[in-house]
Amino acid sequence: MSGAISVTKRKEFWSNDLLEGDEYESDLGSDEEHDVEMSGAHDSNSGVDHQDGSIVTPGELITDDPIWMKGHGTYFLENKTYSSVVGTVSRVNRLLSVLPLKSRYIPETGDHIVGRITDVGNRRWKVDIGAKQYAVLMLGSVNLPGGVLRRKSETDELQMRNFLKEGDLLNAEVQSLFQDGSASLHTRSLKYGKLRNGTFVKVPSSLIVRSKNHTHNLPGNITVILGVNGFIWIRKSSKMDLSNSTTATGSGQSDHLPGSKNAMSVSITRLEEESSWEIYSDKNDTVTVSVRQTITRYANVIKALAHCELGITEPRIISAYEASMAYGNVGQLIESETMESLGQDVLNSEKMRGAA
Amino acid sequence: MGLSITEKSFLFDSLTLDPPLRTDGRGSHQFRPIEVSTDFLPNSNGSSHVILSGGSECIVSVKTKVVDHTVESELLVTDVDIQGHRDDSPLVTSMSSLISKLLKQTIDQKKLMLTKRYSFKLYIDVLVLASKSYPVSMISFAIFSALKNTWLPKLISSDDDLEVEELPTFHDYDMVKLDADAPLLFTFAIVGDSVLVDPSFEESLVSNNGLLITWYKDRATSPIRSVGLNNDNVKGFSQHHLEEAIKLIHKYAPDVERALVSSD
Amino acid sequence: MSVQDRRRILGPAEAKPLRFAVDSETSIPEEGRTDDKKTGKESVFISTDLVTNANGSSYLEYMDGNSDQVLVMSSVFGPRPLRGSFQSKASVSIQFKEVTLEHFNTGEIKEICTFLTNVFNAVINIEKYPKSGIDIFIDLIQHSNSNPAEEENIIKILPTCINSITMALVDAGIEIIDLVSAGSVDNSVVAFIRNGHEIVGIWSDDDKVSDISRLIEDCRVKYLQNKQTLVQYLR
Repeated sequence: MSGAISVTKRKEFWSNDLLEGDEYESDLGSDEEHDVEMSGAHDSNSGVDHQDGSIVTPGELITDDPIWMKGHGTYFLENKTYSSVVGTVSRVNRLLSVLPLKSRYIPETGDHIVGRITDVGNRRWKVDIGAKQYAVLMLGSVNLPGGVLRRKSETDELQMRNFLKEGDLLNAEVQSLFQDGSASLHTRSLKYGKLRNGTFVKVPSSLIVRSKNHTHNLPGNITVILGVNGFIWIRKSSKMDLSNSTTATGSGQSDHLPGSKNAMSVSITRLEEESSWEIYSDKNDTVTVSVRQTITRYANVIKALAHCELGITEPRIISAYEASMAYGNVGQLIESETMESLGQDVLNSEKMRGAA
Repeated sequence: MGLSITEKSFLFDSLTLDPPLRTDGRGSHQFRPIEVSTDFLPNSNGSSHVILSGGSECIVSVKTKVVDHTVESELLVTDVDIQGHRDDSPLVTSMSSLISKLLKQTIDQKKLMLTKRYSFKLYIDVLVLASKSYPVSMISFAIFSALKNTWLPKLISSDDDLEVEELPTFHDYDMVKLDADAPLLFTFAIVGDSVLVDPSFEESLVSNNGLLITWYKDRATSPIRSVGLNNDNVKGFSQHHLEEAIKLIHKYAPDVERALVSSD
Repeated sequence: MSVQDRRRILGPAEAKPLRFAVDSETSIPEEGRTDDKKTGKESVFISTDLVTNANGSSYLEYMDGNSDQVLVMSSVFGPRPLRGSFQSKASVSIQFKEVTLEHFNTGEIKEICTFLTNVFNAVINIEKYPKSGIDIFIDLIQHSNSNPAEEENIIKILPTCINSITMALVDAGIEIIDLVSAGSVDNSVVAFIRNGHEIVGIWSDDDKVSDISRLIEDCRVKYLQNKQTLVQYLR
């Protein structure tokens, strides 16, 4: 690494020249027809329905069949359904909706998310989860020191800032949704709570696929929490993380099976212990330099995947991490060329695996 | 948005290691990669667009007009606009004042003179489209690239109009490249005992102090300023931090300058 | 019938005019003038606690040998409650005003404010004052330059401003980690704490900077003098 800086010439801007191509001209022509359709009653394109998965732009006619129920991303005008966002058409039973290509995170019940406290209020915390509205975490929905299931007292109410304060990161589950679409969270499990010993990365929420498990143990003694909202936490694996993984993926790791029951019982007896003040501690454990370096590498790998607009999943992170080992210096991973080649490596190895 | 206490201490501990481990694994002398495009504004004499990895972005346009410098002595007008900040906010006004003062000092106004009466007057407009960290480095890189790619109309009339009153006339399409050296500004973050160049947003939040050092004509020069990169972790620093920063500049600024010039 | 002027309240016959005792306090600051300006040496006049509605205030007169004169008044308001969202540390704001003259443009003034705010963020023990704001106002009352041809320079007034704010903070009883003071050489100002071992601010407009270590060393000497003056006054 000799260069202090890498300067690249930017690729050409999107220019109007493209429109001079025949293809675009004809497209433009049909667009104009659409405009006419919207105002007038004539419909020259009737019968051309957008099928499931096709891409539409705002104002584009999706169907003139009135039997469809109009969902998100669509509007209804004179018995015709138009798109109101750029995205793909989705047809589920009779429900017609357009899934936007890019949008803020829309919470759903059961989502495992990572959020940041923005406000401490009356018996509740406001949490930024990257959605339209701040989520709410009620004092009653968290584990408090001194037993998991005790009643919340007034003293708890007065020292809420000692548990979680502005800026703190936590992972939680969406418990329910309010009428306005904002989420109510809970952390009533030991896998949820304040986040420590690691670093935070933010990616577009569309890159995270909802799955059963969002906490993954990665090679190098690292645990990653892929929040459905695109907030990601990478940390040094704790004992808890390791014991959880043996129980969750016990079938995969048969040699750990005998120990897994043990780990279970330990984690249950530790329940009381763990829910002492320590879960709200603001102190990091000692993290060795090599673990810190691994965390940085993972962070850069995840940013590279996001740069290539690849969905971020556990196998992809591992595969990209292994591919990144070709670059000894973690700092090299921030060059856009390196990021792109890394993304290509991941795709190639996926194809290979598919072929094999 | 602020970081949590644990994030801050984790980051602080990483940055104060020897060698420091930065959020994105860069070395302490390494800049974020930048993308530069120049000459993309057809209506300007010179323009540049600088994008830092991580999403900070800045556009600079250089326009010119011919003025009578016996009447108008101010030949350089610089304006800085930062998206998301009011024009009268401390950040924008102090940045604008710093940069326009600096450019007035460094750009040789004699080179703008056409004749004994007429001069080019340069309007340098800076628009910061997106910026999370302290944007001054990015702005100076953009101004540097824009000025290196500024083309002025070629004068074909005589350059001595002291006796004969004559308006300058220009060649129809021939242009002359502006020969101007713009200064580069470097930001350093001081975190514990580490001195880091080009701090990212997160690094700025945990830094104890910041330094702004100018690189002009192959040497570190004034303005040298201590700048607050945040409001709640500010501490004093020692003389050797400053010397370390100057050493880094002397070592790597020529690389940066070369990279910016060769990208054209 | 006595011909007495009823409109005037007369005192008793043997009344004497009031005579006030000479105020000893006002004479103390006078002694604070370390040197006389006629000797051609630098002199500083310090006085504190003159703005009654401020929590702390100070007034500094600085004269250098060449009858350059800087008169600065600082007043500190706070710590006082801050509206809005929760802040775990105090937020410091510094406003600079030219009272009688207009030498500097608004951009430069904003630059001074941001610079000074950064210096004092490092010095004030802001952890001690959560949810509070500390507002500092500096009034430049006069700045006369011996050499009118010379351009008005911020460098000339910065050290006095820093000293003045320090005194005002001490007067307000706000916790600070050390007396911050600054020294200037040519076109550079360096603010120090801890006997010059720590730098809290540097502002250099000197385009002839060649040896940064020399510059800091020279400023440090001036700083130690200035600080000595402040300590003497406070004692």
